[in-house]
Amino acid sequence: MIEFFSTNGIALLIAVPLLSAFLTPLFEKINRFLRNLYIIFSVIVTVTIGFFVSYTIFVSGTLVYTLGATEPGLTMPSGLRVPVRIVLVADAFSAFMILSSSIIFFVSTIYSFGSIRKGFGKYFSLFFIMAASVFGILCTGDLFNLFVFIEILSISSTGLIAFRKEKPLSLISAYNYLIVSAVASLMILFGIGILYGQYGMLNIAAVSRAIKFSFVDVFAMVLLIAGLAMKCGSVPMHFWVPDAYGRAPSAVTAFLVVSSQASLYALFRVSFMLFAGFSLIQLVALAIITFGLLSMFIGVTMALVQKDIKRLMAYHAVSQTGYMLLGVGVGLFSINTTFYSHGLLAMEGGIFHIINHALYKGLLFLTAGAIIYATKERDLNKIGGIARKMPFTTIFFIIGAAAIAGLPPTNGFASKFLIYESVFVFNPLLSIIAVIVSMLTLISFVKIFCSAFLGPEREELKNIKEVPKPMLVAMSLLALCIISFGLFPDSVLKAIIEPAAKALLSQGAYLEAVF
Amino acid sequence: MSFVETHHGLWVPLAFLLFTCLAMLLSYVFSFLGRKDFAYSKEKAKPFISGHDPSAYEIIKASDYFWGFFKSTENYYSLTKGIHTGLVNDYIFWFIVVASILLIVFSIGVFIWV
Amino acid sequence: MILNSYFLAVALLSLVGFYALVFRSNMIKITMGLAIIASAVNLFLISLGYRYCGIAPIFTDAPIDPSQSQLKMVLPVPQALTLTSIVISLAVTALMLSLSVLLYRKTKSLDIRDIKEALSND
Repeated sequence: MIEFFSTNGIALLIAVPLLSAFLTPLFEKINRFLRNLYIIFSVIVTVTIGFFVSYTIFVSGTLVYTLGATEPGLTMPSGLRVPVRIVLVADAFSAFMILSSSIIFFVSTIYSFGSIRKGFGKYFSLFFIMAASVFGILCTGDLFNLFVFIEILSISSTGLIAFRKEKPLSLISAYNYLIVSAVASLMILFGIGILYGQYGMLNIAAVSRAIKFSFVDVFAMVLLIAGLAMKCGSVPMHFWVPDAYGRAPSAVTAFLVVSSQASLYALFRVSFMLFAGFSLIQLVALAIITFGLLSMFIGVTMALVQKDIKRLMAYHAVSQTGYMLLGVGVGLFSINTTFYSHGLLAMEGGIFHIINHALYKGLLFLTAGAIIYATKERDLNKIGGIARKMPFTTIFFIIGAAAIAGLPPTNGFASKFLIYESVFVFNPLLSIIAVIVSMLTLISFVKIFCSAFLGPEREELKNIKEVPKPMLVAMSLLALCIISFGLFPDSVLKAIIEPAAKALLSQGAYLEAVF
Repeated sequence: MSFVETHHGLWVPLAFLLFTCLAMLLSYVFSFLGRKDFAYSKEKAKPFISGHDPSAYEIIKASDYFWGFFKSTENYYSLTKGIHTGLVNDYIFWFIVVASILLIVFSIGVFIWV
Repeated sequence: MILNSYFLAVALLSLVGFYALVFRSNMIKITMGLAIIASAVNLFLISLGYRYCGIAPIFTDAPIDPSQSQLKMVLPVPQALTLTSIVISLAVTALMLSLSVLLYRKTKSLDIRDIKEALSND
């Protein structure tokens, strides 16, 4: 049984949510209770498989699954030099991302049971497709399937962003998001097509071994990097982020954070695997660092002036993505240079920030959703003094805000500390900007806290109540994760972050697993 | 005790918590060493806004926070807010701009160094 | 050179598509622009596998005489990719049109600038 799951785990991770997506409407036809039972069951199964797969990978190394082969490990049928079948590959970096996505998937499902009132079956149908495509992006070892999963992700998340379809603003946000992701993924497909035309292969490992970096390949590289950077929401291609994050239901927003991080994963995978042998890799790294710096600064300064609570937090999501791009970009720059050990540290910081961001940003979006749920109001000017009525939400908000602002002893501080202490070797200005951005983040969260939670009670908000229990449970789970990650950062670093960073850096191990 | 070590520093969360608790305890102890004749009343803690009526300033709206900061950075914000139009045409336009900048930089790099 | 003309067509089609995306504010025209870009990418993919005077990649259709040296088959993989890509772009176009319909019902306008203005006044 255990062996079955450890060999077929990656395929099941995609297959189970995809199957559930189409079974949920069928169960809805029978009975509401049965449908809820089925949703809970299949989410638990998916998350368990996710945890199990990532555990297996951290313990015993990279997993490979060849679709359609007689046995999962058979990537190359006899007589062939390159893998022609579709291969799913999950190394330690994928395992790390699977872990963080599974946590958020579980939590946002629990939250949805409290916050979504109508259209439950449709909602979960789309939600499961979204989960399947996120896990697909994280596991795929094939460029074309990367495109397919990105497109499935865009289509299903569009459906979820437009879920409150009686509001025209959510419709226009979904429209913007769909156009942006469709253009980005078409350009990614264009790049993949160019690579296929050159080398006749689609497998990432095989292409990375064969790639020669002619001018045409550079064109493909530009399309891939720009498309994936647009999908992960880096400045100046971040405009869809506040639209989409701000208008989606809050549980979806928490999962949208993870799905943008899946695109971030694809960006890192492509730049570390496909282009690692490029002689101008440091130019790529500089581009990623520039994206990171712009995202950090413009994201946070735009967040300061927002009035809509979820739009404000969405701009913070942009600025926190900048930290990850900065950390990993410095890591990419430092390959084969004298400050390699600092670069590894910066990468660990950037990668640690990915899971921390998923946790605290998820928590903050959930608290924002709780505020909107209770007050029916998203304009910060019209909310005030809700701390008296919603004490638990206030506590969770404080924890999340402290973590995103990088106050010790939260997990956000641990990862930002690693970034501050390592990127200054590349250029001291980077650390300074990172600290300033962190301060501005704190300022804007002080603004939300003082105006929305503190202050005198508003007349129109007299009758608000604390949100339903499933939402509180979801938020408390994330708060617990944040505190434990903050108090014991070294065990997290040793157990999952270090293997993930090393897996991203070691191109050879990935190649060896596939060939 | 768990700690994170970088090449230049050390971060020990549990020790941080311990010292924070210690500092709070000490400040609590110090608060008993002050003047005994101080009588606490609500009147003394009321805000004083240059003689204005404080009740008019009870509700501070979120957009009034950090007014001076936004006043002094007006130019920057008029620029960045101008970029954020919310129209999907501009989103695609910026994608094209970024892709062409990357293409120009990378192709110049390829021609010069490779 | 004349054989490479389909790459020229790809470039022209994507230019037309991007022109529509950047300079047109009617939602139907934006959808059309996106569909044109999708067709450009599909044309690019299918032309990668094209061979002059090639036959369909089905081995039962191939001439029986193996000594026939001109036997050329077009590549099957790009065709599979294109089929998948066509299906996906169909889904995207359908979703975009349905969103346009819903938005038109709410706002009585198809111009995204007008819609933006109408919504920001609320």
